[in-house]
Amino acid sequence: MQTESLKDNIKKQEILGALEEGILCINEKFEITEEYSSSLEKIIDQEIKSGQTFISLFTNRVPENIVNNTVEYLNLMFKDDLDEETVNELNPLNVVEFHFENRWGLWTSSKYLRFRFNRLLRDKKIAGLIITVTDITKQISLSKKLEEVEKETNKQMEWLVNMLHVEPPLLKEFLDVSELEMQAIDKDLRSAKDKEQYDQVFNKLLRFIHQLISNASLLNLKFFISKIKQFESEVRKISDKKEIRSGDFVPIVIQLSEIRQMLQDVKVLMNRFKHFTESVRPKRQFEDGLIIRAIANLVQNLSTDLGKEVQFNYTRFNSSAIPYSYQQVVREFLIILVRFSILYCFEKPDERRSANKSPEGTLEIETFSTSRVFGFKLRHDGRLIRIERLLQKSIENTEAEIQEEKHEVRDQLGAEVIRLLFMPTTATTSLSEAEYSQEIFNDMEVAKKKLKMHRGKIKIIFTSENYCEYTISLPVK
Amino acid sequence: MNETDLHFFIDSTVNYFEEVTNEKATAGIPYIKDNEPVVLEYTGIIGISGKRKGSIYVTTSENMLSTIAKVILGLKEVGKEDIKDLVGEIANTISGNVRQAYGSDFMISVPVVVEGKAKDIKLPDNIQSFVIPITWKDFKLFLVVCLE
Repeated sequence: MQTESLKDNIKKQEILGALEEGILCINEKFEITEEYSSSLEKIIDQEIKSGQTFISLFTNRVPENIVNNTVEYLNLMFKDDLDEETVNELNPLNVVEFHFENRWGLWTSSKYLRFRFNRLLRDKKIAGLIITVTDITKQISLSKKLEEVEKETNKQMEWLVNMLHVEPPLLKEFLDVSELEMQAIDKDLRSAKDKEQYDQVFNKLLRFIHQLISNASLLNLKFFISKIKQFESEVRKISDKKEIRSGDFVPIVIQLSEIRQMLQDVKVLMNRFKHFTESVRPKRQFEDGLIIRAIANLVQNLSTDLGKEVQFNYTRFNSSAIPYSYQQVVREFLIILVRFSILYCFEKPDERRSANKSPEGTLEIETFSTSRVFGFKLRHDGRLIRIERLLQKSIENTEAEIQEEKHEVRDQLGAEVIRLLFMPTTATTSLSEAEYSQEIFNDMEVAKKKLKMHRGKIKIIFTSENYCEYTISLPVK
Repeated sequence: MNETDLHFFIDSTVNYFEEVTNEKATAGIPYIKDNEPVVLEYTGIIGISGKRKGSIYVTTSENMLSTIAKVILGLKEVGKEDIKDLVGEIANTISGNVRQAYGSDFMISVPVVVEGKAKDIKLPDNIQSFVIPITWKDFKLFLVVCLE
């Protein structure tokens, strides 16, 4: 008899040992009985001792509310008068995440497990429960991943359609410049401690926003512009508060982290589709049109805003001659110079008429290139502003050329003109002008850095009282 | 992590100082943690898992901890062990408060205390971390929150 029982036990252990699923039995005190499959320990990654309570398996593995619900559920499972199937619908462990920690108690990984419970009847009374444990991590992870991919794909498709027309080096430059600006903002956020510094941070933030919108507009990245505009309204809402506390910056910090994540995602997407975009993106003609269209729109909108009339001439501007790596910097400088000219140099039609000029000003752009240099010029027939006049008086020649780092006086005057380009004037006549000047200042600072980075040069030439020409030259790599 | 979470951590930390020392602490502008280490002399780390995963840690100087310990314990001198316990307790209290607010599907580990200036504290790579600078008296403390 004893031998038969021993044989039965061995057989039972063999069967339990061969099972892939975890199987165990618990009594009405929720204690684990002697019979459990060896794979159970592997699944839950812990040693089991018979007599140990089932609930103890969950210590530090699942949240307290699930443990509490499990106790309640087990109590119901042991109630003879309750229907097993109905109670089973309450099973809190149908899918449960098991958390695993490292030796310091810090979470490292998770497993998804399914626990199924069946009553074990003896003389029509519930003697215990048989519990089957299955590792469904792969299944759950896969469905979670699919869900994420589906969500991501929709977003990425929208972005991709928007990015396809953009030259990868331009996009890369946009991402790099934005990242650099974000780092600078982060640095400022860290050091701001009082109201004065908070104001400075807000100014920089708004400048950063304008820069981003301007750059993203040039690349026609609509999804990005929309996100930044959302950020701008948040920043403005906070900066308008009478009293600003450090806690008010929380939404800004959160949104900055989202923008950073967006930039990161775009970078990943760009790398993934680099070759694809090269083969299917619209060709240069489209992009050439884009830069001219962007500048023409700017001339039109800004001159209308400021009540000025400006004729834009770009017949000698060949955008296909712009080297890929300079496209962004050329666009930026053109925008800045156009803004500067319309804002400060062009007079309103009445003023021009009184000065015996055509009521409509002329703004011309052109490109030039040699084997060593690529460059472009911007010429306007607006009035020369004070600093330009000063500069003119000091130069005896009818045609003077001011180049940075040439002669001391010229240096100084040239630098003053450049500085004027970089700084907002105090003589603005309206709020909108003030806003525009702020933007010029914002954009120019970044563009100046870029020009330096590319070893480029800026020259300002005056040929007469009515004529001013800016020349930007960049070395051909 | 969203605005509410971050506000909650800030308030929870500031309140801790006020409750324990009767002296207000001020929070600086939070920022996103980059590769630059944020570690001072003593660090208390708490692991978070459950519905949301990640970890938080507080890191500060021995001087700050010893000053707080003296206030709490009413002693003139405090030992290293008291200081170590305190940094763990600060982390524990902050995450405990958060757990209370977020409910019981939020699990927190026992605090791990790191003594000495470690190179950095390893946080999950795939989750963005925020640094909240806290000033109490003239002392600095950083709360680093890394939460899904």
